[in-house]
Amino acid sequence: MLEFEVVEGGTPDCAVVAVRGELDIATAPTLVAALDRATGNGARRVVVDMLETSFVDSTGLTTLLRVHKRFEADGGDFSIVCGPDNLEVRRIIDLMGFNSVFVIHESLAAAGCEQ
Amino acid sequence: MTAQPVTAVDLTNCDREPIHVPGSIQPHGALIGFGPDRRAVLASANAEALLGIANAELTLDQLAGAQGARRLQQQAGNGDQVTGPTPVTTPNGEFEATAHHSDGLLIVELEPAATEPSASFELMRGVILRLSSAASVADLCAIAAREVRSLTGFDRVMVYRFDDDYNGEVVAEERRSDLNPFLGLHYPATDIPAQARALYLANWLRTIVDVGYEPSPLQPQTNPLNGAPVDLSHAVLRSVSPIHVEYLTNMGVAASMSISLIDEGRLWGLIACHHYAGPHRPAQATRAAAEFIGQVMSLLLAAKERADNYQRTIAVQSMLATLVGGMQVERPGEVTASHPAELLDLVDATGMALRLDGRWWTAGTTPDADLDEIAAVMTSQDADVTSTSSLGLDDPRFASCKDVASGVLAVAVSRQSGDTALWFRPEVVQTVDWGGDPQNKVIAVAEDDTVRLSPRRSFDLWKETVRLRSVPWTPLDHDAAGDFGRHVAGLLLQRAQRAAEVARTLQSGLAPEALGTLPGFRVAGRYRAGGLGDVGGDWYDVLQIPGDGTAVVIGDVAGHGVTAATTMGHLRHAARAYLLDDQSPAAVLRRLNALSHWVLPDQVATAIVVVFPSDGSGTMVMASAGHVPPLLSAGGAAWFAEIPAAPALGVVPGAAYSERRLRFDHEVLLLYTDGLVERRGEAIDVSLARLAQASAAHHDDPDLVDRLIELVGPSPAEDDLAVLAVRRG
Repeated sequence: MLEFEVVEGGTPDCAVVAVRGELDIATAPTLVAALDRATGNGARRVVVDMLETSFVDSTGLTTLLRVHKRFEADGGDFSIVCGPDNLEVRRIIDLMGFNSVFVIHESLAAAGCEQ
Repeated sequence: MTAQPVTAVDLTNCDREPIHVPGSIQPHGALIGFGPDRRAVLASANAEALLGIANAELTLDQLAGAQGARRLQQQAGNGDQVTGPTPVTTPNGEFEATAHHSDGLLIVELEPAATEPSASFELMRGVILRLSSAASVADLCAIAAREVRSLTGFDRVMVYRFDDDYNGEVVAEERRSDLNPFLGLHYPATDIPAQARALYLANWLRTIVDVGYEPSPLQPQTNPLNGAPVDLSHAVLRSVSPIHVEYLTNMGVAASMSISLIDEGRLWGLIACHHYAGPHRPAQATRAAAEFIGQVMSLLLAAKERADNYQRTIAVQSMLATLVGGMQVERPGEVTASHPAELLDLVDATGMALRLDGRWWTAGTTPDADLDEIAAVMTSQDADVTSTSSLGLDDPRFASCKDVASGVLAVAVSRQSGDTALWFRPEVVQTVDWGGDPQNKVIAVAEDDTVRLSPRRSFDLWKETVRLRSVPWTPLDHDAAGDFGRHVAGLLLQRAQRAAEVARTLQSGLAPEALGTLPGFRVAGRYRAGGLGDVGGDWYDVLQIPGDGTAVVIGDVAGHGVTAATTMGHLRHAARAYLLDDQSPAAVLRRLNALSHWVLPDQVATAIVVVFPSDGSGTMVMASAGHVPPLLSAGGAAWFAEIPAAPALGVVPGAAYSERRLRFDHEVLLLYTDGLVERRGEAIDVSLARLAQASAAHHDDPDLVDRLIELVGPSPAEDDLAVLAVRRG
């Protein structure tokens, strides 16, 4: 059973990291490693694609927040793609107020990053 | 009659070549076979000319005299009691004869008598003392090479050691200073086929006096006693395989000698001697002395290997002590960054990966392949320590990481949590120098495309045999890895115990009895740890503010472990202090948020602060920082308190928090953390609706909190959870 997968894509300048499955304390390190690779490769923009994320908890979001802080401190551009119909994820983001820190796009096209 | 091999021999069949029955000898000596009546029944074709004696009707007594004949018979019957060759005088001069039995024949071999003095007792005594004083196997090999070269005068003397598959490596060398070094070169097992190794076990020493010799055939070719080819396994003059001669010729070798090194019945290696200047024939006695050096060295091998193992064990223990001392109890995985050299040297690996705390920590070079999958394959057996030196052959999925991980040594540190240590070794072809490597010009110089057999040709074979294989892991490597795994497991246990203690301390204030009594309120609270017994960051608090009312706080720090619990402790105590100062929930949250950004970087927590003013208004004032909404229930209905949304603590610096005053009279106020409602694969609204439904049905139950955990709480418990029910009364 596939519970979690991180798919790396995008362009050298704009990295797209898609999170499929459940993002929690057990899986967050895998995402962080993928994001580190993206920024290590020189990407100026990072888009975390959560369209296929089935679950996220406060630890998962806190992990994203840490990466976001570090990346923006370096002058990078960090955003999330999460559609309005992915309630499992979107409601937690809104409830914990992460929508006021993260730039959230409704689709990859809206994020302006080629897949 | 001339010797004809039964079949032409090449590399495809040389391991089947019957080299013990070549039907001919090297022509620097002569061989005569005597029947039971002590009359010659066969002889090498060169015997008459070399000895000046007609073979026909020759008897043993005629050849060696009565006394010499007795000595030869005695030597053949029990070689150990006769030392040295038997002198034989012929019309062509003095010869040295040795004898042995073969299929009913008494085989007598004669070589021209030595002109050089034989090795003295004093000389050999010095040699033995020096060999005995060797500190290690490497030292022993170096001394043996030096002694054999000084004794025999060969241009090059090498000690050649076999691995488990009989691939060989030159581990010691003494050579004429102008020669290209062979030290460290490796040769494939095919260079010395199995039947040759069997001969090497049967007799300790072989010589080829002149690689360019013309074999002298036996006449007749078969043993007249049984009609079979004559077995020359024990004949020192035995003609060698044409393949071997071609091999030596292509390496520029003019004469050679090899001495077996046998450790507990197994061919451990060879002392291999090469001469380049021309034919070279050490005297019988000199050869015997060299053979004796080989035998003494063989006896010493086991002891020196034990000494080496002992040294290695001490070094490993020292590295383990450094590693254990360098491991932080809180973050043991960071040892991969702080002590990478010791981690790798512990088992002679080139890469290491350690799975701890749900992630991989690495040192050295590790494969791109999924480490979890490699760990799963390696730890599927029951043994705690497992290894392979051919990962890519065992499981083709991993063939692509051969350059990094052809060898894997794995330790299951904790099967429950999946904690694993993996060490890696690359494919062996990248770690060694090959005797036949075409890039080694000095060796390849004499070769062109017409050469049928040469070290270069065998290099091609070797690459094939070592594909996807690493240097094998030794029992010592297994022991060292197992020790390391046990140390880590011990450390994790220690950490878990410490964490449990911290958790008890930090959360001891959450026990229901610790809430104390609040005049005018009935409060029930529960805290339940997560399923893994992990410390969480959930908390609640109730307190009376002298003169001004009563306050309730619930909060949830994201994450687990001591860090989360410590953050929880900070926030809990700060909230108390701020409440004493200012009874505005929004102001308390604003200050907690500022505190989080100031002293708790990278920590995120949600919280709700509720104040019940003691003004008799029957209201409460509450504010939320990203927390799941409070639930109110009364009269068989339940509804979520509508309070303004605001970011969790530690998310937005300077975030604005606002509060709302709500009626609170006969209602039950339920505060909880997300551990109560969170469900994978379910939107939170659905979970919240289920909670509301349960609370509407049971709000008058005096054990409402327990009832709700039972009805709504996830089972098995994954996250930790806190629930608090407050009513007036």
